[in-house]
Amino acid sequence: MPPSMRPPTRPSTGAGLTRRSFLRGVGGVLAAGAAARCLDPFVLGAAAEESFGATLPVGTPVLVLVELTGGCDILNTVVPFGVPTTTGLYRSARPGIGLTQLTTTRPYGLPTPGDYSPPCLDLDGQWALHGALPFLANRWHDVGDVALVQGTGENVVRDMSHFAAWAFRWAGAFGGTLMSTGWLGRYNDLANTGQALGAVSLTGAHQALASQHAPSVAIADLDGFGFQAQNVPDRDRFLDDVGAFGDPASTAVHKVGVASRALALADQAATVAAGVPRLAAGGSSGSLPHQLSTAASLIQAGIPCQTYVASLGGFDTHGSEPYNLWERLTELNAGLAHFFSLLDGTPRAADVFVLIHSEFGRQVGQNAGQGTDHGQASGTIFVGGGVRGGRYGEAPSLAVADRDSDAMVATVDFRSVYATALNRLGGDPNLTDEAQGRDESGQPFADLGVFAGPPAAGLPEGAQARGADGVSIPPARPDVAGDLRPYVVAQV
Amino acid sequence: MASLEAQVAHIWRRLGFGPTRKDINAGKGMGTAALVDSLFRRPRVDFAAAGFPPASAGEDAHAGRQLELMAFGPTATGSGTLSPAYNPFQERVTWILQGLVVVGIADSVYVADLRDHVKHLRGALGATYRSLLRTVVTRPGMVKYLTADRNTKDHPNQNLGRELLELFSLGRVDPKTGAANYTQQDVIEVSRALSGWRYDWGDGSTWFDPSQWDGGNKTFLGAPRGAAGLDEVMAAIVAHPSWRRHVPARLYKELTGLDATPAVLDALAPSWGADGNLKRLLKAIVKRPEFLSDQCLLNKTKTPVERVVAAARLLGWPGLATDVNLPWLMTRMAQDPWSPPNVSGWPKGDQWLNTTNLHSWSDVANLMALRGFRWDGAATGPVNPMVTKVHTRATPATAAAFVCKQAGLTPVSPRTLDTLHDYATAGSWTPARAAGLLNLVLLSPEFLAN
Repeated sequence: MPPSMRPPTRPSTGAGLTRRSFLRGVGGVLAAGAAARCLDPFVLGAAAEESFGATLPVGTPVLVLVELTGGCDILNTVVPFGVPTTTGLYRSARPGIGLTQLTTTRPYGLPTPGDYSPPCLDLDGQWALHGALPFLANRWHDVGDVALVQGTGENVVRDMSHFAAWAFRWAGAFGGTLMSTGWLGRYNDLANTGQALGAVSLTGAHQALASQHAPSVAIADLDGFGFQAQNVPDRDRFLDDVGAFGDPASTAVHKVGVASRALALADQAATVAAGVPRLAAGGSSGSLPHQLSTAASLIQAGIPCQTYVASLGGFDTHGSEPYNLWERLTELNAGLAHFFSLLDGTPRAADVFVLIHSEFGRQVGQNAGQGTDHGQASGTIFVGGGVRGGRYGEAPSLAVADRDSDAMVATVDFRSVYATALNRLGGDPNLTDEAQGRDESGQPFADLGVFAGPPAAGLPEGAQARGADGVSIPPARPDVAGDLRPYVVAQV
Repeated sequence: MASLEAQVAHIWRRLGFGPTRKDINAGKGMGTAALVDSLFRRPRVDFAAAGFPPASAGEDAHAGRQLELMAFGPTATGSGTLSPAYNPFQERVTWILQGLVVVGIADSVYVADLRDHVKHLRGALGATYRSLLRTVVTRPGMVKYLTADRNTKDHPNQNLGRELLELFSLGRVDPKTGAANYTQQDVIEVSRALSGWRYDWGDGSTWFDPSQWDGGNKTFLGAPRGAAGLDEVMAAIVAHPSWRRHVPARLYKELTGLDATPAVLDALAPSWGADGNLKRLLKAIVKRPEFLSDQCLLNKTKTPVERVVAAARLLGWPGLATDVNLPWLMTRMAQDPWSPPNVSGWPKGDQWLNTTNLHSWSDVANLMALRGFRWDGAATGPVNPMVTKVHTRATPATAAAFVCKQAGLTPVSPRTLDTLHDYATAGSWTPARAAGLLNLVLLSPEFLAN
């Protein structure tokens, strides 16, 4: 379990002073003070402590989940450049969009403008990263905290629908009651309840954070994060009345009650966030650099939150993949570079790790539009504090006979990736086990060993990474499909 | 059992975009059944009469015009007066279909393409869902949005084939039995059948190129289909058991907020039929007893579009097509009507009650309600008609109940009434305070529900 975190203390309203005007005064002083001291992380922590009462102790792991939506083409992201047998199959399947150039000259720089199929960036003589990812490739070599988990996916239903695939990944499950909560939400239910900003989505409401008792907050931008009111008489009174609509325990009918509870959370979250100094945005609102800078601001301020979710879309590259993938990976590279520039060298750098994944990979062969269609197996990237760099899992075979409808077949259950992350967050495999549930055979999910340190020890009995031996790839389970009905209806 | 007033307001929220006080009074006079019939019978507003700007006017102008049509109808002046040509039910159905058969502005999809798509959706009540689907999958918007113009016999592109089955017609699994409706091989075979459609970048039209069509034999959805093309795909789809369940279940959820049980799906299937009779199905849904029951009232969440349109109708706010800030504000609320996030449409339900979205809505509601006022409460331009009405016809003591009645909010919790009363009585009763009170109503839990 993470160290205990005190719940935030809401400032009381003094006589003759509204709660909101009191907060504005405190927040303004803190923000000005922090800015004057160049946003020193120690100062930020002190400011946070003074402002909202609770801080996340240094040494507590923090996850920033980055979702690449649309189905990132992992084969053109982590490229088999010198892998016996695999490289030949890769190139023959992709005569028009396969990446054929390599560089080993470090440090790697950004690709030449206009070159949408730039030279790949060598990692280990066999595998290379797309040329638009120099930040990750340099970090692989220079820092050694980049881990590539190959072959991640699922062999339960082998779904190739964006929406079902995400539903499974957000839930960390394939049916039943677990579908109503998210894999991170269930962890927070056990480890992080009672926090005003205990779970943060940087990309709107997020189902991975859906929980029973640990509500999540969506923050698009810290600037303007709060209820707005211009030109109304008695503005403070007005804003207090907006807050008064909210009732965290509302039992009002249907969505009136839901709205009342949401208004209460929105009011409380704005109160807490008001004291958080803003770090450099690094990009326009909604961009990945901007999302991650918001996460960095909250992390450096010591907000008691272990789970952040960010998103980068546009990976559904059915057509014109060279340009589209280059453009998306360029933003991913920029976002990561900016984020770690705000973290590296600070006391929390060793705590914070980023997990990057997508709903599935894409088919091996290219289509008529210089693109690729939906596939199955993908890959997952860990980077940051505590990560032991290297390749994990097993790259799926590209042999035609080993593909399923031209898609690579998963060798590592994505839920083992989750178990690895949760073990790091909570430091307790039993907590992970409780949050995740078991696989279709009743077995817990294994830790992949990505992190240094003790969390990997003491795994629940029977835990194993699916397919880690390269042989025991479980068969598809179409019989489970019947359990999807509640999800499908719930999405309408 | 909800009051007649609550039921009338519910009908207007679900079949339109919210009532005005005049609508409620009229509905109470005619009764719920007659009100439903009158909404179904309103004359269809043809695309030509809808008043969309030229395609060259751009996305924002088109989206703004659509919001105006939802709120006031084609001859709207922003006065809040119900236009004789106003057809809220047609606008509601069009909007539902925009979230079901999805095309959005993206990459090579231009305003003219989406304009054409919306034109077909607007006519759906006079056609069948089968014919609508058959048409739009070959139109420029869909062809480009789902890269169907890059689907050739040598290298099939599965984008359109997959979404046609998953999102537009059958669904992944049958809503009644839970059985998988199709396999990946079905997607491949259907995609082969849909190959050959091309887009002419010169004149912006689509055409069928037989030389790029895969004329080989195909097997999909459980049977050999010979040298199948689009028509054979549509025939196989409408013969599939889920044809009578998937889209009806979605439309049932849209109108009632409830998940359709197997019994409900069986009951609705004859109304839908082999061709997908939209109007008949929707009427069958609305005529079911649960539609006006307590089970359904306020069991949905307003989307940003629904908030803005309902607020415009309440306030008589005229800026839907003209306010330069609205497109930016809609984007900030993550629901630009002509730019859905992906082919499955916009988020649904409680996701719209996330913190950032509520904060953003407070900004939009403030812009709308405080129209014409400056920082010191002085009016510097035209104010919304409802502001004047509230200021002149209510007192501080009666204002809270008065504004709720104007907004059709019933029932209202004591907490909400007390909060509104607190603000109404906190200072001098001025037009600006009346505007602030209306602003506050737009942020109440009762308004956010639908």
